[in-house]
Amino acid sequence: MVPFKLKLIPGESIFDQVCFAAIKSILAGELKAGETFPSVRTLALDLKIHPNTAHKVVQHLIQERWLVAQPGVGTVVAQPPKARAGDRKRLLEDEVEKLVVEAMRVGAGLHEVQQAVSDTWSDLRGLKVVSNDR
Amino acid sequence: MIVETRGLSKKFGRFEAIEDLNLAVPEGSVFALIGPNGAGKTTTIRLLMNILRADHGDVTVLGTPSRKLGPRDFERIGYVSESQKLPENLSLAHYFDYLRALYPAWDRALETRLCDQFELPPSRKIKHLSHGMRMKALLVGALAYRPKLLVLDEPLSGLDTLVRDEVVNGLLQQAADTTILISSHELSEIESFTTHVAFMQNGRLLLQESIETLQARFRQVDVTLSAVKELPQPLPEGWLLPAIEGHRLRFVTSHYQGDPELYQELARHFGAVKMECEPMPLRAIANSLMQARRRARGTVS
Repeated sequence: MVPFKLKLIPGESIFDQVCFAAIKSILAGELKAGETFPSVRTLALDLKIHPNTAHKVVQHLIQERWLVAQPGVGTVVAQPPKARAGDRKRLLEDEVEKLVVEAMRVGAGLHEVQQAVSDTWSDLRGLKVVSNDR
Repeated sequence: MIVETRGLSKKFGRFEAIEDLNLAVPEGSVFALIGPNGAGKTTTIRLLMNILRADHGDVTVLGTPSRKLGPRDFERIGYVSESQKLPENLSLAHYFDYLRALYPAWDRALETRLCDQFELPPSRKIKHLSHGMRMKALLVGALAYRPKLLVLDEPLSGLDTLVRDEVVNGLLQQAADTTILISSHELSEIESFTTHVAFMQNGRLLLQESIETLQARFRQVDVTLSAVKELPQPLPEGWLLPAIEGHRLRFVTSHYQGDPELYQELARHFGAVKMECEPMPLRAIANSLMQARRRARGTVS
């Protein structure tokens, strides 16, 4: 079984959705460092996605250092990788700007957005965040 | 290309079943042939499999012209269709004995594994199998020699949800090494592993492209207008099924390039607007194409 929750939203990139779900569950501590990550075959069968897409996901996560391939064992979850230079700035400036613009567009107030961010934050924290982004 | 047709046409009497069809199925793809009933999907597949002879045009399958396809080629092609004739008096076990002799690459272990997985009763005669079991038996018969190309005509229709899942699992186990051409109406079932989509209507190909590009250019758009306005005439390119009521405008665009571009286009026609647009599942894309066609025909006749 695939050890993270994922309900595929039709119409959006499957690759992005699976990568995001995997990273989220690693950061939330559902998938811990050293645990085996499901094989390409398991991912494909459980999520009903093309094996090539599953393969791409695993390769991408290895390349981004979320997973390590261990010969004879399979793919295991790594220590969450250090953020790259610029990642932090991109999040705090560009992504936040997008969020704020979108919030204004749909008419959500500053307080509402802050509340939603802190709720989501503690939801993930509740599952023990193991991020080491500093 | 694993399958390629050029200018393919086929008439039944005066009825043009297929007109000038140019299909290109890339290697390793899961290629979904979709379209309403009577669009010509089954006829196309029969032309590919050398069951029907084309009036015009060329077909190559695995590099061989379809009229020249022989036993050697069919050892590398798996074909499953609802209307396939089977030796009804044979038991399943005997049926597989018979098939095994025909395919040098037949993998007995795989056959056994698939039969177990599909819970097929080996001693039962084919004529006593349910529709679902028949389809699963056909699929075992097509998967067990690991063909390079699998051609499946409506493999999921009439199957219950559990059996559909089993069949999809069977396909996914080989999808990495096989090209799969599948015609189906069960779009939500096949969407997550389809790589390419071809949409047919009235014997013609409306589109064929990768599912990523298709889903990137289709959006369901909901707009709130600042003032009551009429639809622009002529309609902007790529707009399907527009409906306007009071301050609300709803349509599907097949030319989506990004939110800013769409805002600009809407602003040009309507001034200030609020807009929401959502990606669409394959099923919704197919439905809007079919409805748009139907509406267009309605206004012509």
